Amino acid sequence: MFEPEKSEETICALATPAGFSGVGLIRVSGLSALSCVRMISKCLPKVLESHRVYLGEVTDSKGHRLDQALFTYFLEGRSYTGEETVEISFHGNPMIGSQILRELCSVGCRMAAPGEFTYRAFMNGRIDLVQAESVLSLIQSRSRRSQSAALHQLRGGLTQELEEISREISRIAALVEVGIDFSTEDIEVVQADQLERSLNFILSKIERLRQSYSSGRRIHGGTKVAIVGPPNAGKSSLLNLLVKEERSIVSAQAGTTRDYIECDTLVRGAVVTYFDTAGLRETDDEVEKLGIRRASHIIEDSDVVVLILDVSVPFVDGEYLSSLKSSPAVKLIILNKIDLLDEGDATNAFELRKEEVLRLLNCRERDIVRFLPVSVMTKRGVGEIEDCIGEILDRDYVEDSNVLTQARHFELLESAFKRVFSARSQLLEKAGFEFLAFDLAESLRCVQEILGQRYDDQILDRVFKDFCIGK
Amino acid sequence: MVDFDVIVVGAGHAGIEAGFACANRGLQTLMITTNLDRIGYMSCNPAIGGLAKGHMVREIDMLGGMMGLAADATCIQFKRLNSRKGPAVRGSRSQCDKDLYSEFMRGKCSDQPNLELFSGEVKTILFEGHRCVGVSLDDGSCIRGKAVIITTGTFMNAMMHIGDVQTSGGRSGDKSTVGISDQLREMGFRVQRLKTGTPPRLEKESIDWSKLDPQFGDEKYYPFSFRSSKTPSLPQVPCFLGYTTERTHEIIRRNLHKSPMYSGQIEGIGPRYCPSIEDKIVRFADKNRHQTFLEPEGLNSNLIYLQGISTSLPLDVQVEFLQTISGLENVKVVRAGYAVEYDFVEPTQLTLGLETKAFQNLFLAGQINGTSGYEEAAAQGFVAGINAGNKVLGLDLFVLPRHLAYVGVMIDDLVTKGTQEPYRMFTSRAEHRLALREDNTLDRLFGVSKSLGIIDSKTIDAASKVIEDRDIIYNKLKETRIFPNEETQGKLVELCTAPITNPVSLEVLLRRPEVCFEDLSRFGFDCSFEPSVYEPLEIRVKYAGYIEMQEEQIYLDRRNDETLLPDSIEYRSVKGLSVEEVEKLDFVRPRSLGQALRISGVNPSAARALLVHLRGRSKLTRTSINA
Repeated sequence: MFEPEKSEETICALATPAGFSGVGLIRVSGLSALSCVRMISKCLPKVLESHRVYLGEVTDSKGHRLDQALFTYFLEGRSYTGEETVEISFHGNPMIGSQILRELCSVGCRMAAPGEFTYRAFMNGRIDLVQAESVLSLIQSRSRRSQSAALHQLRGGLTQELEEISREISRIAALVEVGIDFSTEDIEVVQADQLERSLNFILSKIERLRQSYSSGRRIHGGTKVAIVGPPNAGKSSLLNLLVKEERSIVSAQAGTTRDYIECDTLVRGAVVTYFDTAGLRETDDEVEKLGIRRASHIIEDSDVVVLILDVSVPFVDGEYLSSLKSSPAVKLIILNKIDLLDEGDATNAFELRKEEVLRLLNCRERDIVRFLPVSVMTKRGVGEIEDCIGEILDRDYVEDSNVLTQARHFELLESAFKRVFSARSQLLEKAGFEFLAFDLAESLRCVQEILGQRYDDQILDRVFKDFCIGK
Repeated sequence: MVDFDVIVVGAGHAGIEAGFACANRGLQTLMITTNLDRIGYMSCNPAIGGLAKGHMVREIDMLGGMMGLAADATCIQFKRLNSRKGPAVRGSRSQCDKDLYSEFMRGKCSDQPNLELFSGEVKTILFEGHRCVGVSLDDGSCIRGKAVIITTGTFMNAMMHIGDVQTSGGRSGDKSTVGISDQLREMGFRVQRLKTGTPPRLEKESIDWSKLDPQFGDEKYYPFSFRSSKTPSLPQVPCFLGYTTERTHEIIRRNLHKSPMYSGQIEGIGPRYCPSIEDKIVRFADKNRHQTFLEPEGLNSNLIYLQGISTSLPLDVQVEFLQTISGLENVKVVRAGYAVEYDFVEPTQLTLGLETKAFQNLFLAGQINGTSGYEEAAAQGFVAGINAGNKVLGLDLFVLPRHLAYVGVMIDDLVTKGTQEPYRMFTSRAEHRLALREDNTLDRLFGVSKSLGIIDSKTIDAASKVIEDRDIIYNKLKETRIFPNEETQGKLVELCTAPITNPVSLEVLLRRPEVCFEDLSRFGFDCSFEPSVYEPLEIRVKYAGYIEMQEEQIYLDRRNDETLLPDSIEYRSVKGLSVEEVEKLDFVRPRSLGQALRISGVNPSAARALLVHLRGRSKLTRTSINA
């Protein structure tokens, strides 16, 4: 955690992603931000004005020039963190960036912990908790939908629902307390079945929100789509078509894709991450086996599985299908190379493959979104694939509904759920009322923590750990 | 007159503890009371303890208080309440012989070195500037004291009501204390009015006992005091249970206008948790009967206390409705029930040491601070006594933290949040309830007690022995293993518990709800210990999961409670606090961040502002912008 007194220290970090770029930015914040920067850049003017940019050079301790850079100075109270801050724009070479950081550390700065700049901004009253979280969402927001969910959250829809849960827990907790502190009084003791009903009600409310996290997480973090199938079915070509760039190497040789390739794109305003995987087949090649194992992991992890088959090649059973069989993901079956057959044969082959897939994957037709005849080569039917994926995305997305998008909220709600569940078990096992009460108090605490109604600097730590360094 | 280190005004439950806490530490202590016959008198119910209250009696006993000793010595019925509810909310209650209790306390007072008793009425408190220096009496004489503790209970400007008859007095037969609260008011203290009540006392012989249900005490006896004998010394007697009837309610309803509560004659706020019978009938109109316990006031007393039927209706109405209760057809009322209104000082004007913030060396304890109950009073008296002593001895503030004792919870609540009605302790007031049990009082407070040094060395040694024994037993429980052989499984069947599949320690076996400590003797384990030795251990093993969660929470809360706010802090200059927060913080002057956050109206976000401010204070001199 960040101790308040630790904020005496001056921190520095890269504010731009590590890697080559036109310009890189290092942020230095804290009591002695400027004096540290002066030690690595000797010729800055004697007097600096806030929000002004100065040209200067960065040198190491031996006086060697590292880079020519721009220095932006922010007066204490007028910066993002609220502290004295200097931003150094250097030529975007990661090596220069790390050299500058090393020099800064040698003159008394230290590397910022994840999210520490925002933490300081929060501690200095520059932003509040909700803002802090929406900053996080904004940084990470890659799509219109995620923005919309974040906005809905800020408008308080989620808050209302959580407050309802919180009220109900308090109500039950109060009932239990009465049973403890007034047991000698002649008051009607609260009935166990009545308590159980209320606890079930709370559980179902939490459960609904909890489940919304899977779509909420997808809205926020993107939908994962695995492209799988036997070798040479056209997986890599499909990926390239879907993301509209040459990402995967395509060749006629089976097993060209050994590892997987990951690529983001936007579909109807939502982030979709496609995975091109190694072809699934029985093999003795160790490297290929490894690739197939990875493909299985990706299938397990995906929200949507696109199975692509050569329409004229029989679909055969095997061990390699196990992850596909057990995957709960939505499935879309693409029968490729339809252009190589004439119309009559195509229809026959299509029906044959369809029957094989349904039999081998052991599923009914409704478990599968659609069977699509496609030619990746001639791009026939590719538009329908995109439409189909778009429809899947739309399925569980309701604009302005309360969905959990933050991992912190989800985890707290998980804990709340566990505690209410435990309270229910205590009730059913007729354990001491105080344990029931304890569980209820704890669950309330979790819900209130989401609402920011309780001070605990550990919450802050959790919130800020999710930030990338530099912001 | 001679000077004293500490002057205690009042000799009720708070006064006694305050007096002993000082005298026991070698301070010259004077205890002034208007009536030497009423020392430690139980003005209302003839019982000590109860839920959460029993906890506090044990706590101050562990620290060297008197109440537990007196309750044990005069116990005529013992009950452990909530014994089926769970280990953390069990509370001990003793019915006591009122006269013997008072006699016991009087005896202790006269035997106590450094403690002088004096009969007189304090009229004013003496001040020099913002420091309290003594008291003056009704005869005009002055007594100087380095510290003064006021424990006048419900007696300040007290007014008793029976029907439309009002009598000045804090208790039947005793006059009220006039002067002190007016003086405090004049000096700027916020003084308000509260109300409480007591039921009628009945003549024992006039009751047909055969028509009432006897209620006996528990077989198992757990004395409050670590220093008391393990068996009660007086004969144990039953209480009796009776019920009001529709007829009773009808009579009360018909005469409601004669109740001072309903005629508007009483302005003070009464306790919601202890309503009068009039209140019960109005508020719970659909209930067709209310229970009442008939409790003997003592072994040789002719008085019966009618628990649950506090009333301030006129005497004739009281007699009329009481005679509709089965068994009371011919009852004689020896003393009518009555309501009493009195002044109390808003406790937010006190420090955690119960010293007034406005005037040094002046301490207030007991019902004067807006509490109700003997135990609440005693606990405050004890803490005020220790702190007055510390003040005289030049020592630091003595605070029992909330995670360590109910006493700490109560005092923190009082001085932080204040109270709108007579404050009574409940287990639900303690956020760390699972850790604050009666059984682990010794473990919680042994360290504090040793550092206070009131408990005699013999008791300290005995307590150390118990703690050591417990450790030894615990280690043995963990080391002793049983194996899944025929003999073991047979014994497990006898205990109605599942067989084991792997070797397990007895500690693991004890976690099973159906296995209790004494059952372990079947496996050759030495179980020949007092329940007070093994029970805490047993509870610790059985509820380990919950207790650990509780301890984790305590750990988190302690960080705020141990972040102290300096006395000199100027809330006006703390950025980010609302006007209301500044006002509240300035008034309460909390000692720690934790306490600050418990003030109602202070939002969680204030923590951030305060932390930032604290950090700023400790900042080094700022280097100038262009250094």
